Amino acid sequence: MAASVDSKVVQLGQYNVKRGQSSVSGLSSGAFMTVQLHLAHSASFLGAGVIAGGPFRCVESYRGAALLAEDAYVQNALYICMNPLVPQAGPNAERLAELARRTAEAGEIDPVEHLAEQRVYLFTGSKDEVVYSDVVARTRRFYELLGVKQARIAYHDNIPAGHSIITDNPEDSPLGANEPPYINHGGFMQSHDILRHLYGKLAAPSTQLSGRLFRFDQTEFFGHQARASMSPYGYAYVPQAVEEGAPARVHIALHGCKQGYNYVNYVNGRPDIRNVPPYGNRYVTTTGYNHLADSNNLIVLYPQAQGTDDGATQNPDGCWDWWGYTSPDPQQPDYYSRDAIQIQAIHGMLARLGG
Amino acid sequence: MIPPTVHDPAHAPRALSQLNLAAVSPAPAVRAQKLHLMLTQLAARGMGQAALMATVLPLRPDPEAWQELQAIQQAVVKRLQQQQQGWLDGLAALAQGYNQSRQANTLSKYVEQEYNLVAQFGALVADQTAQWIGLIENIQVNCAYWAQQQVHKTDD
Repeated sequence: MAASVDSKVVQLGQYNVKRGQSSVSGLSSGAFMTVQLHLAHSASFLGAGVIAGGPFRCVESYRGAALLAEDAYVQNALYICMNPLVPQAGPNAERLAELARRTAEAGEIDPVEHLAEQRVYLFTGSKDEVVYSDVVARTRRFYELLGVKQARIAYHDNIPAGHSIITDNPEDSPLGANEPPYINHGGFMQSHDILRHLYGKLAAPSTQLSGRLFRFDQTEFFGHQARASMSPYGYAYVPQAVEEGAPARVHIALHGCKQGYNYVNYVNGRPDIRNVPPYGNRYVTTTGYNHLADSNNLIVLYPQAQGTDDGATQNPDGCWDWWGYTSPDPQQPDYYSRDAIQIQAIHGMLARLGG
Repeated sequence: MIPPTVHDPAHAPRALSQLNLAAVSPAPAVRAQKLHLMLTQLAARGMGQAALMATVLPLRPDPEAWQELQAIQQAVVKRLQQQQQGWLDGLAALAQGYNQSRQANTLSKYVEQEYNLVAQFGALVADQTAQWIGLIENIQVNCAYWAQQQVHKTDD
């Protein structure tokens, strides 16, 4: 199911994209970012796919966890938003839904009323030991409280999967694994299930890709700022018909931690640049998005985050920011809003494509 | 009853400015200050948690609160069992690897193999220690957060 990418670096272009019909999905930190992006720009989307992700602004659940705001957010992320001891110590969906409404009223995100007619796909593997199922159950409740109809929410929690996006590629990890690259073999393409839930009936995936998978310079979208913790390049798949002017829709696919193309493992606190893991752009080429996109005139956008672990930014695993590491002022974090550097960048890419 | 340094965010800016002062100090001093801060925090959070629990439980004499507390205790026991199993599995893997006949045609490879064993044991100890401390933080944060929510329920 792989697709190759040529060696050119191009500028992201514009296509005949239907506005307001874009969607986004992601795994783990990509799933948390999916929820943030979905709420920040809900007017641009018709739905979202969340694999092992928690609700909006979850890391602000309990400020008393630490003296410093940035420490408290990390501890909230780890112990409340990823692996709470019991469901009652997990995210409080009612409180976070109220917080989302207040955030919208403050004009920091789009009005939550846009969500009412949208579709949401939620998945948690019953063997996930990284983001527990209790957390994803709260994400479902969160969306319900914001007005998404139950009939439009697909919630899956009974597949014995570890922390992963599931594929039907024989070479991927066993289904129950909770290890990088977090791409597990489960006999089906989860990306197809997500897209079918979001867009309804779709044509069968192409066996041969007609279009082009290309690498684009994504630094222009975050102004080359190091605090963005984003890679130099992003990727996009554009079907042939869309290249020729056919109307298209855009799906944004967000990788999880340790899944960016230039992820480097930190060993004893140092980047092990001599032994880069062979993950490369597997999330871009082997997770199945491109083949279903090809037969349905969907553009797939793959923004890329990269690891940084220095005095300023603590993000060694190249995760998307859902705990505020990019915020200029930890006391007043903006990681969730339209002003967040990563959200601005990704939405800028969507706007460039025409969505 | 609750140490204000832990639960009052208003104290955070002062702590932040202290840290900023430390940012111009040599790295070892910064690390030492951070360690001091984290240990103080750990101790203060433990005291705060105990105080909060002592406050909450008399306010919530209903069976539900006690059941939830019992569930937390059971979850802690389960995590400890998982960590114990991880430690035993790690030791077993080390022993198995060492017992397997390994060829070394050069002295340098022999030394490397011996060093690998030491490094693997060190990595196992570091991982287990980090997990154990992580569990302590997890318990503290979860209990304090849970107790805070109980207080909010009472207030409502």
